[in-house]
Amino acid sequence: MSTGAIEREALLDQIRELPNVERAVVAVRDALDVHVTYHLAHTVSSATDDPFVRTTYPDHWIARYLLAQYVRVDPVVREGFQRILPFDWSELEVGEDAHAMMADSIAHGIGIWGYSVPVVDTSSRRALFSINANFSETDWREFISRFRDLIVEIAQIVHTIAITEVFGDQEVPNLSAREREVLIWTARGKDYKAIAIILNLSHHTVKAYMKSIRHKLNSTTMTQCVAKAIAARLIDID
Amino acid sequence: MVKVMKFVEPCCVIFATKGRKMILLVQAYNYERHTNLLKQMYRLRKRVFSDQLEWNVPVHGDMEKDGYDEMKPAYLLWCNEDMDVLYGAIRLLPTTGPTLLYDVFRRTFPENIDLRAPGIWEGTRMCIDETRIADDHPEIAPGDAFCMLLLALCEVALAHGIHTLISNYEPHLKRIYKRSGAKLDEIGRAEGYGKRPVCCGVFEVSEEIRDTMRDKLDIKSPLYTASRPKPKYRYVAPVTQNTGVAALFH
Repeated sequence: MSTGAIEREALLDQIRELPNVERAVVAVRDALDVHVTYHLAHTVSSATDDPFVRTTYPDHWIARYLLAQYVRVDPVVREGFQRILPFDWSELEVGEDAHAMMADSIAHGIGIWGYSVPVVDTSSRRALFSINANFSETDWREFISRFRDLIVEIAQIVHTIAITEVFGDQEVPNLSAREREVLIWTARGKDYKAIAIILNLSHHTVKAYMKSIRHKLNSTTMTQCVAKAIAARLIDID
Repeated sequence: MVKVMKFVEPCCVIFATKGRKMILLVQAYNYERHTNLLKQMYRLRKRVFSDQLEWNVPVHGDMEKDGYDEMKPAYLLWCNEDMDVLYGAIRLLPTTGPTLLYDVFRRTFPENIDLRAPGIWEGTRMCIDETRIADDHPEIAPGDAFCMLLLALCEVALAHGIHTLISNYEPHLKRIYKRSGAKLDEIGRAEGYGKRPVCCGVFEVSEEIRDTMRDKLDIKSPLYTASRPKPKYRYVAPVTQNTGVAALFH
């Protein structure tokens, strides 16, 4: 397992800049040393198309998976889109019909540990972002407790890339009045503690506003947010 | 090993006769398994939000159900051990998707509230059945019951990487929440939605807050434990290196 310190911000930045999901899943695999899969659920506008799936699984396993039509029994797919909270694959109930698939996946060298993050966006489009590893149980538990928040964040970023790739649209960011205030004070050089005093909010709430701003402006740092917001004329600094 | 189990079990049953409580996390994949509790939840919501608080919510017969219930939300259900009596419930949705609170507050409040990020979730329709709790658990005061549900929510959030909860509440609950160790900022208040104003708050989720709430409510052990399927049905069962599982079968 990857034990070296991961530069979270650098990784998030790197992924955001990638042109498509294919490159994004590879980047995440290389950084975290796990297999990565992104699966966009069927949407109304693409009901007749193939599902949009990008994965780092080896070709021999993908071929086997498609040939045996494992998607029909795969508990991650079957249950994953019926869940909304992130889940560890050990929480999944596996029917008898999936045992053959699991034995086969192990024979193909696919890890037994997995974690999936369901993603829902404001247009109700759903996706599943999963990682899979061949760690020992101890390493896996430690990996998840260390990187769960990062994985949740990456899932959202990859989804944004997918939406642009599949639908070509980019959501126009819509900042609330409070978010604009937080951003303007940031642009004026105030940190979250100072902003908390100015706006009479707790540190935690100001940080939550900042996370929301970064999410909406698809940025890793507040500095990037300020730059983007000024360029898009969302805020005006004098 | 087996003998020990047999010896332990009856004791647990005796201990449990006073109606132990449990927290269930129900999502679309297991709605069907908990149909009865979900129906109780819709009925409870109708009694609480429509009848008592006179909120302008969609009512179908004796149930309250809205469009957000169609979005495969997660429900946190507080029930008895037999899972046939519901004590309380909350609905959970991620703020990256459509959310009730922002829609409601956009309509009723000039200042739009719109915090969206992975890790920020909204908890709505939080309610408890005071009558049933009083019947089965006279030792729990109604104010404490609300806080226990909030503590359970905090535990569930921590287990799923949620660091912030946005939730609505009646004005008087803010004091009760704070007394129980919860940390929240009120970021909006909507008038004219029901008998009393509806507040919208940002709740911090952290291990520290969970521990403080446990202390203040005098709760020693977790209210929520993630349910895992029996080893036979577990995804990792066939090759698990956990010797504990193997020992169970020998």
